[in-house]
Amino acid sequence: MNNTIDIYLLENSMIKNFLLGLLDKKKYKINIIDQSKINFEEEKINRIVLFEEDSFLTSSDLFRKILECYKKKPASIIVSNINEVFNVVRWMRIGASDYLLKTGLSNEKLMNSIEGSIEYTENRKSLAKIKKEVKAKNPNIVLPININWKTLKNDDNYDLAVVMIEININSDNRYSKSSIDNIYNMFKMEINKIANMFGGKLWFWSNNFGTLVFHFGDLVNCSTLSAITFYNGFFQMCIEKLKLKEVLNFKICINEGNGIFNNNNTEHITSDVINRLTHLTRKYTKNNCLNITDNVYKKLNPRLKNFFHELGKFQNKKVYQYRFFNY
Amino acid sequence: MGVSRLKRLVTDGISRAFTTREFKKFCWMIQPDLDFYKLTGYPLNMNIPIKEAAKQVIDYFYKTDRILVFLDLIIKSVTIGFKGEKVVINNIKDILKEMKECGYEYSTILNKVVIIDKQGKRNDWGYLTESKFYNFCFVSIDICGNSNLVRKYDGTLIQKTYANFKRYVSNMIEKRDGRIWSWEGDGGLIVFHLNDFVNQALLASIEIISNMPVFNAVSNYLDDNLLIRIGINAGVAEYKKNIEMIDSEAINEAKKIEKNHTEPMTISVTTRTLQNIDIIIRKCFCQVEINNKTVYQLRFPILGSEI
Repeated sequence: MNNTIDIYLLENSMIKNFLLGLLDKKKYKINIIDQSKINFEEEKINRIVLFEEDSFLTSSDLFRKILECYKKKPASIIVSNINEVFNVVRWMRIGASDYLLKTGLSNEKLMNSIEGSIEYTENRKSLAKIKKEVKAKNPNIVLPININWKTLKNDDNYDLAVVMIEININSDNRYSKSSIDNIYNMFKMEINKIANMFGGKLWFWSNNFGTLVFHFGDLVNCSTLSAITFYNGFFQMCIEKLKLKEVLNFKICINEGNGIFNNNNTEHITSDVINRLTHLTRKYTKNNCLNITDNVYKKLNPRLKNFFHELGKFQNKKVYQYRFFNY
Repeated sequence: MGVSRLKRLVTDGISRAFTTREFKKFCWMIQPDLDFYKLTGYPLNMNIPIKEAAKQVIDYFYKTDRILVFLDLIIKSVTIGFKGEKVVINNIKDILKEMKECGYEYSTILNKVVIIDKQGKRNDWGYLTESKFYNFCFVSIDICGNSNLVRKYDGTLIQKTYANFKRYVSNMIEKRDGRIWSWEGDGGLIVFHLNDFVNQALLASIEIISNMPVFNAVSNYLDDNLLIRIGINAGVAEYKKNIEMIDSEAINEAKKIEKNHTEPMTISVTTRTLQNIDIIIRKCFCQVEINNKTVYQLRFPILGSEI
């Protein structure tokens, strides 16, 4: 372990002997350098730097230059006469590990500072690095921004995640036909909002039934998040937003795969993805359930995977069902 | 500009709309024993000119911190009427404009003059008065297993995730006019007071829990999902500007049921609170006994087939 301390002193420094008296010479070797005679060409390897400041304005550039000479960023401690918090902050911002005042400096304080600074420098991780580490284990889902659906060409094949939603009003003649139309129309608007929130769009909507399509970004996870938002928020949508006196029933399913996109005429959409999804929704899914296909499940974020359990098989492929926090 | 211009505008408006006698009756609505002669210094055998009376009264109400009540009464007398008659104050638009300059605003939701805070939303909704009792709905919210999370994860990650969680909660409650009165890192006390405040508190809480899977997937930096629990209690509290000084049975009850009588990812409410909840939502609650106390619990997801 390299235990040499590089002490950068001002040309007319008065603290040389004082500092030498405070340092534990058995534990650390000392290398005194005059700030006016630094060789910037030489690569430095020591891991502790004591830097005597004159003022931030006159000394900060020199300090930065000195740090650049080191192979590995050293623990750098500023020794100063200036007892002002803003000065401490300025030095910390440009990379100092600690800041000591010349007045009242003792052996104990200096040694604590050196040990603390080494620990701080060697264990310090940037937030970006921490985030990266966490992402590797359990990455967060990043929602796509600045989406332009016009970049997709009609009749071309694209990777798509499709969410199919069906809403059912119990047919006990409680609502008039115009009320039912109104309700479905309001649902359409609410569902459109949810799709936009997660980078998707409402592809088509007819009465009580429609599909959302996702293509940009993490399409599978974004489509699943939109479906979960719809599922969990359906109660509130009925009671608070649509002011209904009851909670309606719904079915929601997701499938993922390759499909021919057509922006204008949804009747021209020809895809096995949609075909299978329609059958899954209509024939297999029960009321108030959110089901996803095997394709979707495989690509799910681990955090979202936990919300789904295997339900059974449909057309020889596994189907998974959503469960809110394992209840 | 400012308060002196506002005072001048109000004086002008009043002196054209009222006689001194009418104005006296008007002011007695705020302070029944208000003595105009003492206030203006006029001898008892003289009539006080309305302009002088208005000027002195406005100064007096301003000094005694009752200018909001006074302005409130003026606006109501214009919009609703005073003693069965609508008062015509010609410069009411100028008065309202100048009030905004001075940091006051007539809230059409509250039908009250409130203080505007340019820094952000005020904890007193701009009109609560010190030491007065009001009805509130208190929501105590907490992250389950906070101590374990703090021990397990790096401080920066915890801080960042909890800050995101606070922002998430703020967004949900502020659109329903709720306010965070206290926050201690992993949770806090949220208060609702306006409109249908019990239902608003409940709907906000439902939205917070319902969207937790999305929060965990998008804004949680920890490997573990954040699970929360919410306790709701409606009741009375004496308002104090220093929020920390507010001590109320209702607040303590909300905190108590959240801590001791609520399971993760559920909402518990007291019997008294349940009575104020909309009947459709009330149907979704089930009566449970947790730690020897009966509470009403809302479990998620809430689906039509289960009601």
